[in-house]
Amino acid sequence: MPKPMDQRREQKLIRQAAAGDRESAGTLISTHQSSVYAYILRLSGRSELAEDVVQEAFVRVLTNLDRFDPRYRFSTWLFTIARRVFLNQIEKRRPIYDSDRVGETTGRTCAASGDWEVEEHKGNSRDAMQSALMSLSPEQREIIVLFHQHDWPIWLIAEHLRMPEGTVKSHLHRGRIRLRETVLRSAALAGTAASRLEEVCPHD
Amino acid sequence: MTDPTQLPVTPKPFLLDGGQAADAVVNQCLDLEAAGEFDQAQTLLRRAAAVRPEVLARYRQTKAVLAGLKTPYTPDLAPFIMAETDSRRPFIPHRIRRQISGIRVAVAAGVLVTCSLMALLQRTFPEQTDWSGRPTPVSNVVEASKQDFADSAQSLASAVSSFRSSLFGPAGAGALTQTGAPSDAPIPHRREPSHIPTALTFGDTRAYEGFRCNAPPPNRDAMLGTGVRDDAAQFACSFDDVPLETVGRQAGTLWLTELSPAALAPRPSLLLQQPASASYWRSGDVGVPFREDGYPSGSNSKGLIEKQEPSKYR
Repeated sequence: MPKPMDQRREQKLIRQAAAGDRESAGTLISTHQSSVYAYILRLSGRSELAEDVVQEAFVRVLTNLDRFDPRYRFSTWLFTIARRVFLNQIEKRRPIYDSDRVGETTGRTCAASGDWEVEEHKGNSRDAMQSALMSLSPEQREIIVLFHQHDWPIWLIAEHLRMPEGTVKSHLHRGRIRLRETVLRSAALAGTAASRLEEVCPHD
Repeated sequence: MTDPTQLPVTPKPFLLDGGQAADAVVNQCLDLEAAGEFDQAQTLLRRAAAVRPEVLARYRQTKAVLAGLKTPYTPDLAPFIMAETDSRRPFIPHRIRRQISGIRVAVAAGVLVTCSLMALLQRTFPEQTDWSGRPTPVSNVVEASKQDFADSAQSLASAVSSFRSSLFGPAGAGALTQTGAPSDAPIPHRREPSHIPTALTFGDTRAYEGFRCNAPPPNRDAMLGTGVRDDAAQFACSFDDVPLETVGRQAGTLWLTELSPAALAPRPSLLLQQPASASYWRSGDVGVPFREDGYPSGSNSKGLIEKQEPSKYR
């Protein structure tokens, strides 16, 4: 993930991008797309949905840069828009989601089905954390991601999610413990993962 | 070493069971680390581990799980985003943006220079550059239109006025002549036509209320009920006092020309006046017959003045 740029340079890039500068817009995208994509991917657990959301969020941001309030952080604004797009997409895709899944599984040929399973297995092994995250409640998942993945402070998360800081902390504490237990349970089922986890953090 | 009494122990582990108390300490340590309080977190962890050894294991496991929240592989979405953004709000090349900026600066500088020059000219030649009082072409047109309209309205008003004058001129206007009157009888005269208003007007109606007559009445007895004073060399007969319209075309009769709407007036008036033309009589003319000796031809005022049928005089 690229290092976060200082605010002055970011403001300059925003001004130039708002004036129609392609290079500045490209710099903003390359700086923030990883974090937004990770955020949405952790929330949704679906890479294609995360890509769509990130693209739409960036397009909205770049076409409305003149509305950006420079008193706030650009990343906060971007995350807010991405979250809104994500919720809209979830709302739109919800009724279609199951039927699509059913159609995909029943309509595949054997070879294609095999490829799909391989790809999914690769994806799962590449990021086993995601299944554990998906076992959390949406609030716990989002707070865990924002706090531990994006290093947002509690007050900013509370502002972003529009809930009290005490509630954010409560979700955070419960989510940590539940996430750890889920991962340990999964690791116990999968011997390799368990041994790997044991290597990382051996018991005393 | 940090004073253990100063350490934050908000979860109150002694109120919880073993696992919950350990997890509470783990959470507190992680919060302290996130806040940058690494020393306090380590101290708290050591203290808790001394009491509950499982705290340390849970802490390490949780840290390892959370460390797995690494940033996943991110596809490069920039090309699509740039293309889509360009279609909705096109990017402007750097050269054109510089040109636009240059044009803006040039326009602003031109406006500034023009204003400065105008101010300098006005200060140097105040009389030649005083445009405030001069009419503009538009104001000329407006003024000419106003003048044309005023002329048209005036000519129209004069035409209407003359037309009304010809229609509503006062009755009996004209030169007074005596027809068949006694030779020694005074010739009454009436007000000059020019003194009579040419049209009916509201307000003062005295001009229509009667005529003056310089013919002295023969005597009071003969003019019973006329209301004429003895010393009245001239008298005015009010409009309402003219009682009846009477025909008196015989010789030695003076005639009065005036409208007489008050046919039921209580007393006749002696109005000695002759119309301008004795050849005919108009409706509303009032006459008082006189004998040739100058006296009225009747002692009874009621019989003296008779009503005249308008149809006879038309």
